[in-house]
Amino acid sequence: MPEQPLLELRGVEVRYGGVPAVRDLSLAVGRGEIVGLIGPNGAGKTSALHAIMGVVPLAGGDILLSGRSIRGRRPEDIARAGVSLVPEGRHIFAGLTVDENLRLGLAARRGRGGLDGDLQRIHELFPVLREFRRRSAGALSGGQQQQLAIARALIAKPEVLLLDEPSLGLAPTVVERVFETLAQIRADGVTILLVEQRAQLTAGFADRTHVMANTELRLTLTPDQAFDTERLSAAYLS
Amino acid sequence: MTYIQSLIDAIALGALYGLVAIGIALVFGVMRLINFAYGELITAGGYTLAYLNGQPAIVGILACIGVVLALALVQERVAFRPLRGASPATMLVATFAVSFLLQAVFLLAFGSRGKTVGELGRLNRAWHPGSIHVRWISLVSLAVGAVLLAATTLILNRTNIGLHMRAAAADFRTARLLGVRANRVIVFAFLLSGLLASAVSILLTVQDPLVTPDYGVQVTIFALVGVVVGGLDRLLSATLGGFAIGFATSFVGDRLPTSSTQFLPSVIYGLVIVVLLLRPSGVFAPLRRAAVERV
Repeated sequence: MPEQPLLELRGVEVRYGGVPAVRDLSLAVGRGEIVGLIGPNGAGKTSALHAIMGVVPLAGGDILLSGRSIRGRRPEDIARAGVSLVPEGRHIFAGLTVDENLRLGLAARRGRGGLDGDLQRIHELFPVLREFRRRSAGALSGGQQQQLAIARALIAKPEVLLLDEPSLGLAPTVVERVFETLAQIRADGVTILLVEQRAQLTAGFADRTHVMANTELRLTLTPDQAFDTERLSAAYLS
Repeated sequence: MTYIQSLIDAIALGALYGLVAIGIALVFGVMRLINFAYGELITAGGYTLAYLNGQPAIVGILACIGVVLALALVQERVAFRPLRGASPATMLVATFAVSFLLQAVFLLAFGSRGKTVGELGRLNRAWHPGSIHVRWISLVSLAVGAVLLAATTLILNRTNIGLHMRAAAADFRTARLLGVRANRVIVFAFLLSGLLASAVSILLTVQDPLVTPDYGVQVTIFALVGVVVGGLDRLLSATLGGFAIGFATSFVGDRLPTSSTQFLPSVIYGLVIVVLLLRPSGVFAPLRRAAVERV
């Protein structure tokens, strides 16, 4: 019997008013896996993540976490159930300090066991956050803010980490650093669903990558198909 | 010497209006809701004190706090929670409706002639350092205002619920995505603002002991004007705005000739118009608003 996915989307539909944003999306993320979700602007990637987090209501289908439906639950309850989102644009709290932003991540953490060790690991992954812990988060650079957003999600000790375009607006060298960090996080056993615009980078990095276009899932790629530009282009333009 | 006396009275009234301003700004921070029914919390506290005349002062004070907190919770649960997510205009109209409804309830229950609070009247006695005449209530208002402002600041800056409130005020959706419980934060904001309203009830009934159905309306409107003048987006600027309007009301009132006191509101609102023309985002709002923290 195959292992139950940690996160599963079954025929998910999202609509804004009457306009469909996601149609019949089904995908599964197994424990310890990293799954990519790529596609052009307006494909429905962010809407899919918002549906998982309960930010937008489902018009159809279901979302299961460890086999149990989380449909209709409030965002804070889904976060407390073990799903953390690093939102597009980072959404760090600019008026709070770096440490206060990290403390906010604790709101979703179940129990404080192992917190010291996790904090130490986070500071190993993101040394700048220790260095600037008392600095206003708004004073950090874009790359540093992205690190803070990821660290804030990790401190909640999530079962699944959702990342919405973590490379957006970052310089190429910083993007490289972000992906290196994601590899380390994955090595720590964190399950990841990664939404990205950088198609080939993501497809080469994730265990498998789904391509969305025009609100639907069009193609699934394995890492060795990352540079199959013909299929990728066809899926994007379909 | 009368100048110093006016100054002390003005600071005391400013402290009182400052408390009202904090109460309004706390709820606005997390809900984007200007609660016009805040005045009815003050009125309810006043009636509680009036009905416990003759009881030990501590009984009246504790009952006042209890009743106001309960009414704040009822306002949140019955009136504002079902409307959460509605348009700002709908929410604003709802607060007017709650305000008028409660005033009507007070009118039906207690009549239009008002009830007098007498228990803490001795605080109106004066202390005479030299030729100055300082009422004890001025000093008590000042002390209570300072203590409650400090306590609120400590709660916001040093506790988890305070951190969650500040985050919710800045970006409620992201705060919820991080696991911050919306209901808990909003209920806490209402409770904290209710606690401040009960303090205002106690202090205000010493200075103005006749409680009528619209007792809390004027202080709330004046404080609200102060909050807007100060800058609604930040707790500190809102508090300073409330303080400034209370200070100006008392100080200008003292300086005006007795025959002209009816013009006091006109003078105050005239000043407000000038200030808002010069600084539309609030006189105490930061010049650079790139990273505004609302609570």
